Amino acid sequence: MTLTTHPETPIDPFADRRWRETSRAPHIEVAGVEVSFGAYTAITGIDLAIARGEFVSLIGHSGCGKSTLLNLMAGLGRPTQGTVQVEGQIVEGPAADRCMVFQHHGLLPWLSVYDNIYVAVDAARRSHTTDEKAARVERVLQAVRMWDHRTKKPGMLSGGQRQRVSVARAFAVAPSVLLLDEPFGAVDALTKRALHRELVELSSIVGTTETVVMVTHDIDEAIFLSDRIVVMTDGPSAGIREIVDVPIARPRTLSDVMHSPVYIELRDHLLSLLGDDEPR
Amino acid sequence: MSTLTEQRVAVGTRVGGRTFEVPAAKIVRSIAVNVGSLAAAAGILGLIWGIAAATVGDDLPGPIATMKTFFTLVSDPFYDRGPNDKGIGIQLGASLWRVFRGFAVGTAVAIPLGVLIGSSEIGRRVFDPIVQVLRPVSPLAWFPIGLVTLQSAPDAAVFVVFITSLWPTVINTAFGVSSIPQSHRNVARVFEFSPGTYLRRVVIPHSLPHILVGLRLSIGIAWVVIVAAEMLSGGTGIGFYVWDAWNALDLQRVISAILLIGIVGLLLDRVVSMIAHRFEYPEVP
Ligand SMILES: Nc1ncnc2c1ncn2[C@@H]1O[C@H](COP(=O)(O)OP(=O)(O)OP(=O)(O)O)[C@@H](O)[C@H]1O
Ligand SMILES: [Mg+2]
Repeated sequence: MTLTTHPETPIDPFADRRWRETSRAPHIEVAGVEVSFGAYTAITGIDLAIARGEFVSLIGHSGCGKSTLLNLMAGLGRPTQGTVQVEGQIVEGPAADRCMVFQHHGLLPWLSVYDNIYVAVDAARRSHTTDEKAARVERVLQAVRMWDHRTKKPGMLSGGQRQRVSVARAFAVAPSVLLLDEPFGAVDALTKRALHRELVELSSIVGTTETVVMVTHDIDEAIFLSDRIVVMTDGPSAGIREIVDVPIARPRTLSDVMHSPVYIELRDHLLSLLGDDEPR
Repeated sequence: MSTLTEQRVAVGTRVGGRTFEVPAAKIVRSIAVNVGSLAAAAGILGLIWGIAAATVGDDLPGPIATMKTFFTLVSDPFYDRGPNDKGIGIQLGASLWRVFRGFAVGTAVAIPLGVLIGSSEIGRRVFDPIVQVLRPVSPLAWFPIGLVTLQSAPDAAVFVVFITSLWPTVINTAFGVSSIPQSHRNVARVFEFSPGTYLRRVVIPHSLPHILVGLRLSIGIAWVVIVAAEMLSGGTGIGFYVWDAWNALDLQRVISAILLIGIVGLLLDRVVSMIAHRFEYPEVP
């Protein structure tokens, strides 16, 4: 019943997913989207279809509009032009089924770690019994190894711990779409590996999460986790520069990925896409 | 299932059993520092006072004579020999009771008003100008209005306290409610908080420290203002007591009352700040 992390398990959160066979209709569909803030056009001409079960990364320079695009999928922002559809429905507003891990963790500073997650589960999963909700909170906190810190307030945690709680909270509500805005942005490379492992743990205990969109600055992280990588151009009026496929078989382990010849190729390609992108 | 429960208990005792020990030497040192600095403060005050009394002459009583009067007053605070001769405790109690009533009604009006101004654009547009115009007015200017509406001088003093305790609470509540960060609102939207949950888990915890800052300011000013209001209203109360002592040219009583007013004001402030402390949380960088 208790969950511990097994370092020997293959580090691949989405090993058992055969998304290419599940469905032809896209889970998330972004069509002709433009977002302007007053006179400033942040992103424009974005077309992107994400299949059910796919893991897609958004990568691009700071300020290009990655969070803006992710917010549209979450329903926290509205496109100035174009449409965003999830499950064939136009996104009108936020919903717990499209859950977001915020760039700045977004934990409520007056609630303990435990309560931060419990309150979210309680609000988003009203039909569950109190015991079910409590069990769910305990499971995700064990998975990110934050159970011993459950009585602490977010202000007492380290940056990486806050990110872990934030990720755990999103998994706790078992959304079908998970939107991650630089979930591991505040942590060092070593911790990041542990967090990827915790992501495995979480996705294996919460089987309902199907599609993941993640914003990241980290090319290695993107290659390791993604099925496809969306490279954005710089703003203003940022668009999609290229969508890069990651043809590495799943389940993946870190060493598999690192030693695969495709990896070096992908990495160089992504670096050149990002590096040559001088601001206009 | 049993392992899960066992583990919960085990972890719980470990967390719960952690004690925070403060070494005895540390406590002793902290007491010594506090008592020492307090004695130094009293010494400096007494010195300045003594020099002033010596310079002015007999009209201003010195610290030693005054302290004798002070302890006489404090040793029998609750005697009651008719309407014009009551112990200082009774006077202070009457003032506190007025402050309490005015402050309670003021708070009951100020918090909802602040929530309205802080949360709705229309509320802000309508009520903010009223607050901005009335706030700079000395609360004592309201005394005649209180007299006319309540037909009683002591109640007019309560009315003045009521007006006084409105503004800091209104302004701080409005600020607290309107300053909820977008990120907290987004969390509430994404996790589909009901309006009730949003109020209980976001609006109130975020605004409470601000509201308590307002209450602390309010009760401080209310205590300042009640003394002046009671000088106008007469009857009972520490303000009237000061005025009465001055008319009898008994400055030892005036100064003793000043000291007591200060001490009570300090205690009021400490009580509110202790309550406020309970609702604090560590800031997240
Ligand atoms: N509410 C807003 N009002 C005005 N401009 C905005 C607003 N939100 C975002 N922008 C602008 O839109 C652009 C894209 O912002 P966004 O936060 O999406 O960038 P990002 O790619 O997520 O950057 P980072 O990697 O640094 O998080 C930026 O130039 C930003 O200044
Ligand atoms: Mg961003």
